[in-house]
Amino acid sequence: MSDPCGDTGLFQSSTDLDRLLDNVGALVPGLTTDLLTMVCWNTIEDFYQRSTYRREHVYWVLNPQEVVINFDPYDSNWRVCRFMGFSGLQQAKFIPPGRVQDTTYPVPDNERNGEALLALKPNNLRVDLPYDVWTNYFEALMNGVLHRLYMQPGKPYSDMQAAQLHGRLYRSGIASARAEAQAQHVREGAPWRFPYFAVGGHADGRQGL
Amino acid sequence: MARTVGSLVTEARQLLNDEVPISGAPRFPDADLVSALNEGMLQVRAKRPDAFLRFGLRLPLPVYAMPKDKDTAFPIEDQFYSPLLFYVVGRSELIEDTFSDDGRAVTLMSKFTAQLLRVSS
Repeated sequence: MSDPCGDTGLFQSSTDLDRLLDNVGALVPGLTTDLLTMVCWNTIEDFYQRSTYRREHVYWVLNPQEVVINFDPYDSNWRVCRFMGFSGLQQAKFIPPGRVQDTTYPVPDNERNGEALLALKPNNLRVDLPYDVWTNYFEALMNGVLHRLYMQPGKPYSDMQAAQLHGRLYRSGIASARAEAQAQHVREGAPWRFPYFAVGGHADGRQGL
Repeated sequence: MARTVGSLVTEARQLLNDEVPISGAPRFPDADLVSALNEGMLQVRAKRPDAFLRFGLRLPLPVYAMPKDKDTAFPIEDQFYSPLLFYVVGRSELIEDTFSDDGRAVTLMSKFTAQLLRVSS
């Protein structure tokens, strides 16, 4: 007789969207697949927008007489959701989500170049997200989906209390993802220090009050 | 057995104890039962719009007819089959005639709503 507990295929389907759909679908009674899929996409997009988890550092060149650089879409699967940093133009106008216009007048006839740090988000649910998101932030994504589902009115699964709990956990997961992205995915790599002013330092180097 | 518009009508007829006799017409013609189904779909659309995401929420609902749609697949997720079955039976029992059972109609219509909106139903 086979050991039912050994059949891990049921519980470890994959580290992708199916795992999220299965986990939430198994928890929430009366949920339709279409709505689940829609809410999963809303959560994943929101996760990337709020955490800016995927950041790309790019070098750009603007040819003579050109005034617009368009970073969006980043590629066929990823779109820019915001600028995290930009350098290289004296007078730049930022047009969300990913366009920069050189407003210098007259239009420069020299080549300009610089750097930009872009936050990206997937442009649809079929985009394969990296393994680290599915494994490190699976709980955060699941909490985000549950938060959105429980918050809906007039459903068999409406539950404001649970929604608030999962909302808190989701936001905490986002904060963690954002911190990791800010630390360039290196944990404990460099000790974090209080800014100088926060430990009571003075401009003249004197410590304390 | 695949769930179809026809199978729902057949099951409703069984619950109504209105299977077609060898001679004579049934109490509820197919047209009446499928009309109750169409009405029930409107109710589901109002109470559980998420059931119709696949159709498109800004599009009119399909209207079914018998016998044309006898083999048409049940159009929304299977979890709505049973509530709609109760709706069709309850709605049919609302008809004013000698054999109708108002209590049963109210029970089934309430069950329909409860199944759509509550876990404990």
